Amino acid sequence: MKHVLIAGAVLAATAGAAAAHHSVAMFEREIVNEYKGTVVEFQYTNPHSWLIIEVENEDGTTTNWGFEAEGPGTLMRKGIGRNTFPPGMEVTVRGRPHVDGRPAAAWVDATLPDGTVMDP
Amino acid sequence: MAGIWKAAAAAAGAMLIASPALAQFGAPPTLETTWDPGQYDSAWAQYQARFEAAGGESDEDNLPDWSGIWEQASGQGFYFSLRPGEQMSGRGFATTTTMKLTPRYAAEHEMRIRQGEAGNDFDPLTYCLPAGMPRWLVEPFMREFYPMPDKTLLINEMMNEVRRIYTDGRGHISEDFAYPLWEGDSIGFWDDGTLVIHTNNMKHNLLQREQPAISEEAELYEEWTMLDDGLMQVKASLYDSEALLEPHHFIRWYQKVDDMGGDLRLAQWSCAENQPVVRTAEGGSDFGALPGQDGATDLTDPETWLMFDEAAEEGLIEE
Repeated sequence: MKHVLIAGAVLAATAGAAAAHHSVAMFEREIVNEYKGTVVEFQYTNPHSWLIIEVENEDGTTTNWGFEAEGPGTLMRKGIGRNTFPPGMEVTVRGRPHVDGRPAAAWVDATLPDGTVMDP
Repeated sequence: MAGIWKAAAAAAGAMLIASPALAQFGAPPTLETTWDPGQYDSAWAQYQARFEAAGGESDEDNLPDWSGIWEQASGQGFYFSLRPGEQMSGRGFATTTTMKLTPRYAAEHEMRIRQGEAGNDFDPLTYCLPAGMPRWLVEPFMREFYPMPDKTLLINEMMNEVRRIYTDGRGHISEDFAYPLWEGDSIGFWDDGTLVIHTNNMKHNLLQREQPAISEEAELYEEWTMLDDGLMQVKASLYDSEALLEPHHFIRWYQKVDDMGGDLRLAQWSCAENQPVVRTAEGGSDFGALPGQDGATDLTDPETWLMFDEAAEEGLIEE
């Protein structure tokens, strides 16, 4: 099942970007968007984990969006394991989008089908 | 990523440790951020004075137990110059500094801040190079500390950075063979459970993305002391005749974390595996091929180099 990006959903975001492993200049600092989609792949590894989900666009096409987080050492302590986001799972992900509009975002959180919010 | 952002937000609070991880080890102490060791001409002079005060020998008989997994104590931020209670200072992140810079290094710092304000933010880590010393002291992620009779290993998971502190009485690498090293060249001695370190031969490098730089003349004095089970105090003095008008004295803190019954362990960082960041023509940072997109090589998938699929296609195995 495909889902639609909640376009223009700008949520409150007050915390500025700090010292991540690499520069975070490519991400919006004060915009958080929400994306609904289906998990394509969860790359659970150092130095950065990426959650890839397929999101349906308004015109019916789909786009793979990638959400970047820290590696397993950080995610484990948030209860996120390698199998937390299996392919095919429907999720709602919030992220700070890439400044140039490409389909990537700094991962803020993700809501599982049962309503559990995973905070990477 | 978001976790680090939230860590930065947490740093906006008072410089009191209040994390659940440390709560199990006792009452949260106030974290001091600076100290006054007295006046010395160099880090080496400071180190020599401390060595003489320790009786001129290294006490290897009572090595402390520094086992477990450590990380930055909460509330410090990932910068050298944040004052108590600050998350960000200056024109973004932590662009101000309490260091007394020479005009040349002040200008370089100003230039880098201007570039950052323009969205051009780049550093060695973004290139998958190490943070190096002394930046190693303020970086996030998990650490392990291994005191041994002849040396101590200080490890940060990030970029697999290992500091080797030789306490067997050897001196620094001789001038004939010395060259700039990411972690510098460190020697030390033990005094009543405190590891005293002198480091030189550090690379010409940044202290943080929006913090000043150091020259190859930099040298560092450190005292590592576990004050209580679960809290490590590191008093340090940075000297740099090219970059600093006077030494910069600071204190960093590390705390033990719950290792999740042993499941939580330091792991190899193979930076090229999943960090597709490149430097832009303007000098900033951006992703090249995005993970999950056409044209992105998935280096997290061993099939990228294994040949099971090809072997099956050739009929060598049945799949």
